[in-house]
Order: sequence, then C-alpha cells, then structure tokens
Amino acid sequence: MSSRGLARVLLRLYPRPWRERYGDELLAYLDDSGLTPRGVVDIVAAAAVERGRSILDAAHAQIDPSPLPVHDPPVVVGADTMFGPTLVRATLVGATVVAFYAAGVPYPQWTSWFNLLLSPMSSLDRSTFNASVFDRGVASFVWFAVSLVLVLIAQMLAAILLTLGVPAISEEVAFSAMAIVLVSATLRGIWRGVRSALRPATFDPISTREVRIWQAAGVATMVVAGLGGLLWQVLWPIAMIFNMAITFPPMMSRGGEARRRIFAPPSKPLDL
Amino acid sequence: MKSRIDIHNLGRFSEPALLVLIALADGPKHGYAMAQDIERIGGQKPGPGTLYGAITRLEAAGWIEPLPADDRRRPYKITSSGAEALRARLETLRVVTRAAEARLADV
Repeated sequence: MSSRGLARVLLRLYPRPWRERYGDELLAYLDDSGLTPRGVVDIVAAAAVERGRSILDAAHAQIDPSPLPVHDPPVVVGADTMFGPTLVRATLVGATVVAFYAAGVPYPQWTSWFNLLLSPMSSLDRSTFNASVFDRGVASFVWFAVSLVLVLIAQMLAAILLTLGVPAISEEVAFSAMAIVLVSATLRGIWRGVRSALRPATFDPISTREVRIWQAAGVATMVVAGLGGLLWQVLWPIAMIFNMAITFPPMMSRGGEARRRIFAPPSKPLDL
Repeated sequence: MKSRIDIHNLGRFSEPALLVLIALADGPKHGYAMAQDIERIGGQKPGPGTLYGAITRLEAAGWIEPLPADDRRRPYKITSSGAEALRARLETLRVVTRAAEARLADV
C-alpha cells in the first residue's frame, strides 16, 4: 500500500464531520511532510480521541431520532440498526480476544462469548441513533471494554482480598444482585414493548439517561460477580439472559419508534 | 474564579495549541508551515494527528480562524481572542519560570 493510500485509510479512523472539515488539509499536510511510523501512531491516537469526543458529544446532546416521511416503506427493526454495528463490535471484540491470547493473559471467556452472541441488542443505544454504523459499533464496543476492564479489576481485587483474609462476596449475594437487575430490566423492557404495541402513536422513545442507568447497573452486577469469583461455566447462561435483559429497554424502544413510523396517520388528506 | 481564557483547558492538546498560536503570531500559515516553524522554535515537529487536534480545538475556541484554501492547503490566522489567550498563557509561564529560576539559584 502506498503512503498516500495508507494516509487515506488512516483518515477513515476520524469521525465523518471531522473528515469533511479537515480531511483534505491533513492529506495535503501528509503529502508535504511524508508519513512516518511515528506519524501513523500519532494519527491513530488522535483519531481515537476525536472518535471518543464525537460519541460523548452525541450522548450529551441526547439527539432525537430524525423523523422519517410518513409513507416510507416499513422499517425492519434490526436491518439497519443492528447488523452493521454488530459486525463492527464483533470484530473489535474478536481482536480483543486475540490480543489477550497473544499476550498469554487469561481472559474471562464468558464476557467474550455472550457479547459476541448478543451484541446486536447492545448496539441499540439511543444516544448514537443518528451516528454512523461504525460509530455505533464502536460505542457498543466501548461498553464491552469498560465492563471487561472493571471485571478484571474486580477479580484481581477479589484475589487480593482473599489473601488478606477478607471473605469474598458470597455467590448468593452476587446471584441475588444479578437476579434483581435481570428481573427488573426484563419487566421494564417487556412493559415498554407491550405499550409500544398497544399505543404506537403516543409511545415515547426511552431516554438516554435511562439507558445509561441500565447499562451502569449491568456493569455493576458484572463487577459484583467478578468479586464473587463466579465460575464462567455457571455464569454463562445467566450472562446471556442478562445481556438480553439489559438491552431490552432500548430494543423495545427502537421497535416502538419503528411501529410509530409505520402506523402514523397520513400528513395530507386523501384526494377523493 | 477560573479565567475562561486558558489554553490549559485544552488538556493533552494544550502544549501543541500554545505552539500553534506562537507560530501564527507572526502571520498566517498552513499546517505544514506551522509544523516547520514549531520545529524551528522548539526543536521537535508535532505529529500530524496532534497538530490537527490542536487546530481543531483552537478553531472551536475561536482563537484561530481559517483563511481561503489554496489547493487543499488552508492557512490559518490568529484572532484577537487567540492573541489574548496566548498573552495570558505566556504571562503564566513567565511567572512560573521566574519562580523556578529563583529556586534553582540556591541549588
């Protein structure tokens, strides 16, 4: 790959608005100065910062979904909102797993398997609704990465506490915490789903704040599970259900938004 | 109360931003010319990502403004608020430098 070709690839790491504003200038700069290995690393790091900034800006802005014309073809929930980000997220998760094995570091396998299998639902985050497929996949991966790091820290902390003679959190406590979050999230998601089906025209999308609360609760219970030293073989089926439940509210909300578009009344009177 | 004019608010881009403002203080420049000037001043050229990260934040802060591009190379010029921010930062650095030199005199 030529230096110019590599520069164009690196430019793709930046968010679209940034590329549209500064892309040509950066490419012209690289034409003048050349692209060194140090420059590649510098661009990758800077692009990661801009990506993170754009995701945070979108979350804080609580962007409302852009309205679609009333008589658009019916939206298939999942066709455009799930599979693209899922592919991005699954690629990033797979790369993380490979990196762990390559480094010879034990990896909590249950986090990777249920995330790979159930990542479509965790991609449905209202705060990134208007973001690109890549950004939504990255945003979803960020939640996985954060929870993974916290679980690893919790497991290390549990091992330290054990050597200090501090009793670890019991499995009963860990399971109870997860059960509370599981049941609550599932009931909440089902309720919103039923409401959206019965009254699509008046259904409001779930707020970003609520999505964040559920995600934080999910991460917190995963940390508690890590502190409890739960074996992944036992936790895996529970973690699968857990991930589904934690993403039910946004998924049901997104389904509600799709139904509202499909069944909305026509904007113009019929010409008889 | 913290002054709103503070290059330090730009986090990891604060030092590159300071150098960009210094480079633009003597006239408009595009990115490559800024990098060369910064290398002349400080001995090290900033990375391309770092440089344009600083430019992004300086433009957002209103401290530099773009001029019409010449074949993809867009020059920037420092604004009056950018000059004010630069003076404020340099004054802070002067105070710090004087204090450090005074202490080192006794070492």
